[in-house]
Amino acid sequence: MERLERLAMLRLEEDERMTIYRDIERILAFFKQLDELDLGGVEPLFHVTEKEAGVGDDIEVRSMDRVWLEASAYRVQDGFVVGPRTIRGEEDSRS
Amino acid sequence: MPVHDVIEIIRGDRRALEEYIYSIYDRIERLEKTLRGFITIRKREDVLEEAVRANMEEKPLAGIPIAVKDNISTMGIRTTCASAILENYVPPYDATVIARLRSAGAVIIGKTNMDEFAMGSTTETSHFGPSRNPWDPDRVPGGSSGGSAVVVSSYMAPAALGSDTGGSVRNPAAYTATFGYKPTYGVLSRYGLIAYASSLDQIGLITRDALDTALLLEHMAGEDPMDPTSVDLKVSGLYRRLRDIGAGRSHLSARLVIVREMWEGVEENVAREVMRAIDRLSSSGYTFEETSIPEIRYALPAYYIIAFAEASSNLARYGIPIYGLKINPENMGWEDYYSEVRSRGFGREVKRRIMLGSYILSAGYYEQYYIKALKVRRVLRDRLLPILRRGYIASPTMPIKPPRLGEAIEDPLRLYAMDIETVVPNLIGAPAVNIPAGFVDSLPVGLQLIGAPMSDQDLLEVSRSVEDIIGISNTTPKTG
Repeated sequence: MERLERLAMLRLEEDERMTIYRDIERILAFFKQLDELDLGGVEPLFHVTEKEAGVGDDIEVRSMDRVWLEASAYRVQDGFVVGPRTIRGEEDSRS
Repeated sequence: MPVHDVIEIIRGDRRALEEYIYSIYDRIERLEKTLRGFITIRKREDVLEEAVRANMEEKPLAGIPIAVKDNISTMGIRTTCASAILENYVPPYDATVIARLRSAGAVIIGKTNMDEFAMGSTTETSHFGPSRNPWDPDRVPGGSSGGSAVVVSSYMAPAALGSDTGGSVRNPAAYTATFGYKPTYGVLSRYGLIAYASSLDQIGLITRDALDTALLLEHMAGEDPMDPTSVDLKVSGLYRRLRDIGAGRSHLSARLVIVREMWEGVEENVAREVMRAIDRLSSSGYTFEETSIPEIRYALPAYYIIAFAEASSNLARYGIPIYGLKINPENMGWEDYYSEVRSRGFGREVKRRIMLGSYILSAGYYEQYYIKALKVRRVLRDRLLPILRRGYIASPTMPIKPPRLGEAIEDPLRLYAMDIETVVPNLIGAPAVNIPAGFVDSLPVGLQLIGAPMSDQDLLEVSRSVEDIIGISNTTPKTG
């Protein structure tokens, strides 16, 4: 569960972890049904569309208004969205 | 009243339009407190102003109000996906379907309630609380587009957009006696639809009848350079063709295919009621064929494996500080912040699906689950396409009556089992509809018809004929 939480970038409370763990075990057992099928020689079908992705024309379009993009940010400073620190400060690296 | 009738009344008549908009808001005032179909309702004055302008400019949809599921981006109107993580998110652009509807003269009246990120079949996983079924408010309206079905069924909007990844339009349509349409994959652009499982997601419509769906589809369909998976379905003249079917006019006769495995595990009285509707079609000239596709029993696990895998990838973006969840990032590292936002912002069902998706896609399990599910998808497509070229697969839309609130949500496997009839069209990209078929214990049950990919026009024509023969479309629920 700890590895899964790390992979999913989630931190669960203890009771939530227990419930989800129990559910995951049951759901994976349900998925195991597929083992009953003989799928030898079958190619996986990733996508139903048979359209080839082409290259679009170069068309000049108006980009999104910055005000809209900034509206949902926690804080904006000098035109940039403020995020968490990327490089740890001295205090962090000592702890 | 269906959209096509409303348009006839309001076109070019400002007073009639105003009266109509006022009547819609009166209903919202009266019913919304109980039914909770909306997450966001726009101010009446704003809607009226836009509607009058569209009407004066003689746009084809004449200012008709449309409700929109809250996972379809609407510029300037918050779009939450019924999640705390997007509670304050206001999209900076319109989804293509919204832009097309607006330019045809439709007006967005509000954003409808749904399961969080469309992950659910009852609308109970919404961060904003569940919607209730207008036919019995103690029961769920289905999901995940439950709010859209509620507002159409109870006349709080004449039509609504939903999205359908594994049945999310057809399920609530069946539970509210409305018409639900999931198009062929690609017929409606997904640009601006907040992704759940991209290879399965499709925007759909919930309306009072097939004729309204045809009318709106004509203004929404068409290839879109912003969605490379979109396809060009020729729909012009569809509405006119449907008008000539039924109501004392001509009837179609088509071949319906009963796949035995799709009737297994269906509640007995639900199966009986849907079969009764099919018998009426039989007496009206429809022909039948029975067949067996044993692999269909594996559609549900294959669907959920693919959906979870794609969801865990699509939802990986939520964690960066631009989607509106107000958590101060300034004294945190990226990993802590990212995990904190996601842990506080996502509800339990979403967390469960992301974790399972991460597991399925992780080294060692990818082949065992994900690739195997994709192989089952191919087997199903190869088995079903020849059948769909001969006729339409007919089944109950839902295997059970609408559950009471709280009845299905506690057990995820029970919740997933509700989708057993509806996931197949999504897996193979085929169009499918729900047509109101009857009532069991005064609760609506629906007939699902599945067509061959790109046969949407024919499927809608047949739907029009079927709903005319069955004759219970456009009924009014108890709370209405």
